[in-house]
Amino acid sequence: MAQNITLMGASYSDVPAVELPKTGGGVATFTDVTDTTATASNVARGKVFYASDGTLTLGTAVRATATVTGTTLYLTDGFPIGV
Amino acid sequence: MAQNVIINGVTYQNVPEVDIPKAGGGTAKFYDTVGADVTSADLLTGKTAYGSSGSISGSMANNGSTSGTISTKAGTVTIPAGYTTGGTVSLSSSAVSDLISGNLLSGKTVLGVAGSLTVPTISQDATTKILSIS
Repeated sequence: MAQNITLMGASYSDVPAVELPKTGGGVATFTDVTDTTATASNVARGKVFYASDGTLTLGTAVRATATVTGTTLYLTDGFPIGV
Repeated sequence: MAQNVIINGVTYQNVPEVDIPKAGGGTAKFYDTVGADVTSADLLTGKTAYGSSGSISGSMANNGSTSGTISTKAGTVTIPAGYTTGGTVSLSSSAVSDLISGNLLSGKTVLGVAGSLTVPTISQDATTKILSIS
């Protein structure tokens, strides 16, 4: 995504990120994340991403589990590796 | 995550985000996303998120319900990699209906069903040639 911003009296259009010099050298990049569409349940458990509101969010999607009862295998909600 | 940055010669420590006025009012927020570790494979297809190096698109397949039926001895059901809403894999109804004790030899057990079928003993009298089946 990008934002139209005003900085020191000047307007800048469609700015996706702001780069600032780091104290130790190099550049720090700060990004507009408002176009993020993922929510915690769309991301693998334990993985971290920035939600559209800028919240550092932990993924919650778990791996599917399989259980066998009688002659039937039951697969739960989640993401199997593929078997 | 946060960065130590310099603006107009002034050092600012542990800066997680930069807020700048928007042209139309309000504030635009820009985040340091270096701390994110999500990858394309961790993210459901059709969704986007910011990882440590910018925007990524999900590649984890969404397979919806994953179910199947096995109707032959060699039959298999492959569960594809990706997201599933769950499902069941079961024997076909015909296979289940045939899987009864009377269809299996005594002493054999198939999928928990113990057989009760016995094989008759046949003998023949050497003199009379009469067959005796028991």
